Amino acid sequence: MTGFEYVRAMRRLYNPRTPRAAMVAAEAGLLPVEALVYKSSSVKPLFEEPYDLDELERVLAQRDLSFGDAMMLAEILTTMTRDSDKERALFAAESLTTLENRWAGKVERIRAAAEAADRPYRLARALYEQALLAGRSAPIRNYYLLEAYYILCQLPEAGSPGPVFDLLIRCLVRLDLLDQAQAEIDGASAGGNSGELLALTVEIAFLRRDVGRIRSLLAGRDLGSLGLDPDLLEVLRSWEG
Amino acid sequence: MRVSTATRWVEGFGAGALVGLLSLLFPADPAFRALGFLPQAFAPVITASLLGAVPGAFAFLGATLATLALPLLAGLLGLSGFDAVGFQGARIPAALSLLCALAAGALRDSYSRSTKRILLRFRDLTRSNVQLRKMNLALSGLTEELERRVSGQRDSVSSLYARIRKMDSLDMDRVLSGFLDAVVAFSQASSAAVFEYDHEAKRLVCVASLVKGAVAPPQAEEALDLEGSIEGWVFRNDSPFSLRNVDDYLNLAGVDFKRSVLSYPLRAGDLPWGVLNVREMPFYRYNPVTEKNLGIVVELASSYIKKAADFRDRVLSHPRNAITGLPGYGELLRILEGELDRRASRRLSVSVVIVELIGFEEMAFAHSGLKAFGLLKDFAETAVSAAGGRAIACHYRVDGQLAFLLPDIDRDGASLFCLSLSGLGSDGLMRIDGEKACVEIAFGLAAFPGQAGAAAAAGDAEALLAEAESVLTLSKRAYTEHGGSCP
Repeated sequence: MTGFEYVRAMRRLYNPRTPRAAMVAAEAGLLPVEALVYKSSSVKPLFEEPYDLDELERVLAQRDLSFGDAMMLAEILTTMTRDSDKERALFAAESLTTLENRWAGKVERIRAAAEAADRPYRLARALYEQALLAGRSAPIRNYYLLEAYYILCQLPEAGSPGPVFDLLIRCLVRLDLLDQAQAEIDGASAGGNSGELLALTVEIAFLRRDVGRIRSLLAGRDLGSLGLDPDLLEVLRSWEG
Repeated sequence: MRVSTATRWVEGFGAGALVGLLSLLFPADPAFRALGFLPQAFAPVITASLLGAVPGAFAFLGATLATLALPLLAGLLGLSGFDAVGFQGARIPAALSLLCALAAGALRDSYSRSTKRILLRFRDLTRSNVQLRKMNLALSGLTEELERRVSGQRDSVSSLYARIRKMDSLDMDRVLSGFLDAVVAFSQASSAAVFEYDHEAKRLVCVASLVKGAVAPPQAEEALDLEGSIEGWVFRNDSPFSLRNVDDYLNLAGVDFKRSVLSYPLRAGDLPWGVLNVREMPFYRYNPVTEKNLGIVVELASSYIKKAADFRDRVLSHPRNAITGLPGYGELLRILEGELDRRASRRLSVSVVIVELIGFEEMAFAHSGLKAFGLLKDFAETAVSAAGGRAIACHYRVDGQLAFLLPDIDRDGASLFCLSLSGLGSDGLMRIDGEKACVEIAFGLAAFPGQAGAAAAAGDAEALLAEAESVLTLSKRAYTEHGGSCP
């Protein structure tokens, strides 16, 4: 079956919703392999308007929904709550509640879990994520951020650079406590040259519109050796030119 | 277990020799005449069948040598009465044995080669099957990753197109709202503002703003001088501003740049019109790609801004009704003349649709004039929206009558527009005091250039309106004859 033959016949065949489903169907012999090619090349960005409710619902229903995907959904759904079509706006509001409830459930599960060495950090991380998801309401967001901050403060690792310290600084930045965040970074013990910490310091300077400080922080640095996320590395490199 | 060729030859020779020496156990009848067959003759055939032609030949050699050595060995072992005479007639069985052994060996070798080929093929297929399974697994992961990337792509061309289409309106508020939506989509800006240059006051006036990522009404009377602000600098120099380049501009010293991360000059067509100022955006989105994308959005917005600005200058500058905010009949005539003048030489289309809400006066009497005009205003807004923001709504001669100018739309497009409006009255979308207002709608339409009389065909505004009016009269007559659907 050629690709075009499949396209002509596809109405009569099983219609997979995702490329992955098409692949499984092709493996099982239910569909020709052209179905996978067609489905893979027909993926539509979730951000494209008009928003595809079925697709949003499918992503929302994923059991192992990542935080990045959840943030993306939250952004789209928040925009949709302003839709002039009341049914779509209602769908968006309900979906947002579902999303927030899932993270609230995650926080509760971690709270109820047996005492473990990394439990406080995981709890603070979940609270931080919940704060960002509930970003529409500043008081709720700040409440979760503060709770995460207080949990992190009690950890012995909070004074030295590492994941706990990075998260603590992120909480302060999101709370708009830039001076305190900068003071914490300055007061941290040696070893504060990690990529994450540098990016956070640059972000604080950016939020203060302190271009001179950003340039001095990045001057002479070998950014490639810091092991940063490629997108973040690109952002920092753009300040070098 | 793999057996070497030499070993198989030795094995063949040994087997033949061993069977050859078997006769020593039967010295009285070593040639097995009583049995009627010679075991030495079978040994090469069996060996060839099992090990191949060459080992079979070696078995024949071993058996022959052992048989020839039998009398000598019998003497050495002291076997009395060993009768080797029986072997004298064994030449023919020996020759047959050799031939059969070679034939059986050839068959066995051929079968073995074919089996080996099949096994090799099976092994290759199994290997490629395992490889394919691995590739399939990797492809599955790759497909999932690609799907996630495409799903999460916020700045695709199709997304840009959808956003740009939202700017296609004659209403400047809608254009700017669509524009700020596009700015949010491509930069995730949480705070931004659009300033328009007020040439009389020589200041930049905020006409649209973005607060917490959502389009909001502009801050009351926010205006900026051209000197002393980034927005003013951007407008004066017709150059974009980016925070990272703040040190590159010596003349920016002393200007407060803390309110700006990115700033772009906006143009209406080819003339400077205003400024877009992005005040806040996430740090990780502030990069050259975002700057370039916003530059594209700004560039594409210029034609829509020009269209809406022209429309505002042509239409909205005329006196308007206090309740509905729509221009009256006199203004309609002037606007229509202007639209026809601009299109007459190139014979481009302009259509006019006159709408009459039948029973408007009764409605105004039953409720109040204010509410009835409010309904008229809602109807006009819905109609303009149905035309994709491209219709110009005006009052017509009497209350309850509206005229819609449809620039660049011909009679077919105008008919479709009428069709989309016809459902408004019966669908219960028009409400007064929270209740469904049952309104019958009569239409009249005319289009330029059309098949109308010479005056209308020549682009005479009054003739065009007269033609639409005559269609409206026919429509109303048909309504009266058939009776309305309202109780």
